[in-house]
Amino acid sequence: MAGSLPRDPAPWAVRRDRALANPRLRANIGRVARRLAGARQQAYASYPAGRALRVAGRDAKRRAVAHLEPLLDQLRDQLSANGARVIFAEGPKEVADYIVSLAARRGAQRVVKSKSMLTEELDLNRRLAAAGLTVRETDLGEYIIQLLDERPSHILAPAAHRNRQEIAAIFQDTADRAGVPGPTSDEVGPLAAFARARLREEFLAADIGITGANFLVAETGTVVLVTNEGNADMVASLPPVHVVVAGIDKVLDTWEDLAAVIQQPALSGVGQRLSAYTTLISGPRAPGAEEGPEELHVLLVDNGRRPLLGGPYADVLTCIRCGACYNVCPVYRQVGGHAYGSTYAGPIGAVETPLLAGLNFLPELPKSLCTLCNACVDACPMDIALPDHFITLRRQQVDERGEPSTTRLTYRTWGRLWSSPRQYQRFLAWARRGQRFMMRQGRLVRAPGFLGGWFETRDMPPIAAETFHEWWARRASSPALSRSDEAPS
Amino acid sequence: MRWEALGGHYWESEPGAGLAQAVAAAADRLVERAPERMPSVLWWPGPAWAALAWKAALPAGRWAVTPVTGGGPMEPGALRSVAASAALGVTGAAWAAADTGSVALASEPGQGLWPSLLPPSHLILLRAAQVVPTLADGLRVMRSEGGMPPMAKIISGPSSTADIEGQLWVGVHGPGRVGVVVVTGPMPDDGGR
Amino acid sequence: MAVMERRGARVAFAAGQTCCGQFAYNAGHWPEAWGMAKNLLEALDTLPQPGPEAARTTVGLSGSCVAMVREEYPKLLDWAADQPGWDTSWPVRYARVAGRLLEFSQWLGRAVPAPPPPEAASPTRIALHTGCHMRRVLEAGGEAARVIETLGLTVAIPEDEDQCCGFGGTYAMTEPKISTALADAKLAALQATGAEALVSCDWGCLLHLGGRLSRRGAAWPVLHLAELVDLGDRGDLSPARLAQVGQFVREDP
Ligand code: SF4
Repeated sequence: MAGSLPRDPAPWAVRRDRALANPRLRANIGRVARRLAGARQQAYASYPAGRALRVAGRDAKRRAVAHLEPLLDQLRDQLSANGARVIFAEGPKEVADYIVSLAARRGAQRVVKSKSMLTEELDLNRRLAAAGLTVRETDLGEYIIQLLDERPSHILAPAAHRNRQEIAAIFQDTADRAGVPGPTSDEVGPLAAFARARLREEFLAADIGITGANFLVAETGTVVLVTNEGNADMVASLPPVHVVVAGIDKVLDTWEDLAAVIQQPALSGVGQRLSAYTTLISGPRAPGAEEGPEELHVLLVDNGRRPLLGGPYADVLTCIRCGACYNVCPVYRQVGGHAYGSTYAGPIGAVETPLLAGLNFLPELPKSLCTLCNACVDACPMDIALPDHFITLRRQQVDERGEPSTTRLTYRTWGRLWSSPRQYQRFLAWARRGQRFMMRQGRLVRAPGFLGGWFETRDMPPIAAETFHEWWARRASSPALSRSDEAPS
Repeated sequence: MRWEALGGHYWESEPGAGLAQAVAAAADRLVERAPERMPSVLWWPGPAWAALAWKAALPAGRWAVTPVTGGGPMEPGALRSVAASAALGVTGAAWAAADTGSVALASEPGQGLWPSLLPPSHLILLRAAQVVPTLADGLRVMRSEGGMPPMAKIISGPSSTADIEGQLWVGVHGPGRVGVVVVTGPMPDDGGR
Repeated sequence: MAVMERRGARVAFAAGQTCCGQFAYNAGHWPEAWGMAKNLLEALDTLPQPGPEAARTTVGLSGSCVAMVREEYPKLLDWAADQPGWDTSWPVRYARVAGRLLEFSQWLGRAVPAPPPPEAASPTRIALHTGCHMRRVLEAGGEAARVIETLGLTVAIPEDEDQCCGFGGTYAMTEPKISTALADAKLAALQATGAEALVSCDWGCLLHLGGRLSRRGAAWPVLHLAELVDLGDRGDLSPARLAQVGQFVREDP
C-alpha cells in the first residue's frame, strides 16, 4: 500500500520561487552543505579504513533489504525476549493511535522526542498534539524549528535556514511566555545554554520519550541511535516509557553487520569517524536496576516501503539518512529543503517521496530537481543508483502520460527529425528559415514551446550558414577544398 | 588513542598512589568551580574499581561526593536527582576503541549511565587492557560477554551541536567536558599491557 | 579536425550522425532517444575503417555525449530489447562502436604522444570547466588540464569546481530559473579566477554558460578545448586572439 506523507499545499512553482527569492536561505543552506561535504571528503582522505567500511556497510544494508521479512520476525522475537513490546504499524494513523492509547493507559501527558525523520514523515507531532498530548522536540535544531512551527530544511541541520538573530528572537519569545529569563545574547553559547536549561526541565518531567532508530539489529534485538548532542540518551533513559518508531528498512541481520555500518552516518554525514553518542538499547530497565524506562515499545512502520521490496528501486530502502547526497546536490544547494514540499529533500528525497507515496504525489520531484550531474551517487555510501532512478521515474511518468501533450509532441517531432540524416537536413532547412524571426543582434533569443525556457535567460548562436555536415559534403565532392583548416567550427 | 583529537581530556597513571592523584587532577580540570559552592560528584565507577580509594582523590573538604558502591540500589528517583545536580559524574567503562577514540559504557547491575549523561562533566576510569584497536573489535567484546545489557553507549568526545549557523558548540545536552584516566602498567587481574 | 590531422590522423566524418539522444533519454522519452541512438550507431558503424583495428578511434567532442554512448546506451539497449522492432544485431554493433569511442581530450592525452612542455608556463590563465559526466561518468576530468598545460598556459580551477553548471539537457529549458541560478554561480566562480577565457570539453555546458554570458552582455571568451589546441598549433594564444575566436556567435571563416 502506498504510504502517506505530509505535503506542502503550495505548488512547485511557488515553492521554487519562494526559495530562489530568499538569498539568506540560499546562502545559509549552501554554506552548511559545502561545509559538510568538505568534512566528509577530508574524513575519508584521513581514514584509510573508510573505503573498505563503506563497501562493507553497503553490503550489510543490501543483504538486510533482500531478506527483510524473516529479519523483521527475528527482530520481533528477540526484542520480545528482551522484554520489549513490538508492534508492526502500517502508517501514520496506526502509529499515532497506538501512542495515544498508551498515553491514556499510563495517564501520560508530556512527551519528549529526539530527532526522527520517520516521525516527520508520519506527521506524528501534529497528530499527538491533536489528541491533547504535549510534544517537545529536544534536538537543538528541531527545537528551534518546532518553536517556529516549521519543517526541517536539512536532514542533519534542521534549522540551517535560520540565523542567530532569528533564533534569539524566538527563544526570547518562548522565555517571555514561560516567565523565565531569555538567552543572555545572540551568540551561540548563550543560545545553546538557554536551550539546555529549558529542555533539561522537560526531560526530567516527561512521561514518554519517543525516538527513531538508525539501525535495528535482528540477531540481538537492539535499537541503535546515533546523535552528537546526547539528547536521544536522555529521551531513552529518563522518562518511564520509551517508544521507538522505526521504519522496517532499518533492520540489520547481525551484530557484525552493525559493526560494518555503524560509522557511516557520521563519516558520510558530518565527516566524523563516529557520532559523539551511539546508544544501544536492547530492552527496558532490568528488574531491580536503577535506571532506564519501565516499558519499551518498538513500532515497526511500513508507510509505503514494502511495495519497493524486490523491485528495481529496492536500494532506496538502504538509505541511512546521512545527508551526503543533499550536501553535494547543486539543486539542493540553490533551493534548500522546503522547496521539495515533503519530509525528505535532496536527491534521495526527490526519488523516494514519489516511490513511497505514489508517482502522482509531488510529481515534479523527479523532473524538476535534478540536472543528472551524478554527484549524489558518488557521495552516497550505500551506492544507491539515484541518477538511474531519476531517469526511470521520469520515463514512468511519461509512459503514464503525466506530461502535457504539447511537450510530448515536441519530443516526438524532435525525435523524428533527428533520427535520420535526411530528416535532419529538412530540420536544418526549416530551422534556418524559422530562426530569422527569433533573432536579435545576430543571436537567437526565442523558441517555440517549452524550448523557449532557454531564452528566458540565455541566448544561443544561430545555425551557421554552412554547418559542418554541409561543409563535409561539399569537401567530399570538391578536391580543392581538402584543406581542413577551413572547416567551420 | 584518538580521544584527545575529539576534544576529550586524557590522563595516564600507574596503579597505586599515583592514580588517586591523577583522578584528583582530572576532577580539577573537568569541573569549573563556582565561588562559595562545593562541587558535588556522583561517584559510580562500578565494582571493578571498588578498591580505588575515592576519598583520597576527592577529599571531603573540596568535594561533596555521593558514592554508589554496591550495597543495594538507591531509590531511582533519588539517584536521578543526585545525577541531575552533580557537577561531575565518574564511571568505569566496558571497553575503548583506539581508531575512533571511543569509550563504551554499559548499564549493568552495579553500573549506571546517568553520571555519564546528566552532569556537565564526566570522568571515565579505564584500564589500558580495555583498549582495543578498532571499533569493530570493541563491538565484538560487547557481544562475547553474553547477553546484551538493556542499554549501552559508545562515547566519542563531548556532547556537541552545529545546529546554530553551523558553529560547533560543545555541551548542549550531555557533558561538555569529558575525560578519561587510563591506568597503565600491570594490574593483578588482566595480565598486564 | 585540423588538430587531429596535424597529429597524423586520417579523419573521417560520419555524415549521417545527428545527436546521441541524451536529452530525450534523460527526460524519460526513451522511444525518441532510441530513434536517435539507432541513427548514431548506424552512422558510426558505417565509418570507413582503414588501417588496423587498433588504430581506429572514434572521437567525440562532448564528454557528456561520449558518456551517454559508453555508460547509458547499455541501459537503453536493455529497454529496447523488449520493444517492438528490436533487432538482435544492435548489441553487436553497439559493442563495435563503443569499443573505439574516446572523448577528444582523452584522445589527445592518450592516443598521441604529447609534445614536450614549453620552458615556462605562460601567464595567460584559462578557467577550465569540467563537465559532470566527464568527471564522474567517464572519470576523464584530468586530461584537459594536462592538454592545456602542454600548450604552455596556466590552468585555473574555480572554487566548487565539481558543482554542476546547471545545463542538464532539457533541464535548462524546463527549469530555467534554477538552471540559470546554477549558471550564475558557476560563472561567478569561473570569472573569480581572473582567467582570460573559459574552456571546456562539453558543448552543452559551453552553450549554456556562453548563452548566459551573452544575455548578460558580458564578453568573456568561451572556447572548446579543440579550438584552443588549434590556436596553439597555429602559434597564437594571445588574449586578443582568444577573445576573437571565443566570441559567442562565431564568425564564419
Ligand atoms: S541516499 Fe545515500 S547519500 Fe543520500 S541520505 Fe541516503 S544514504 Fe545518504
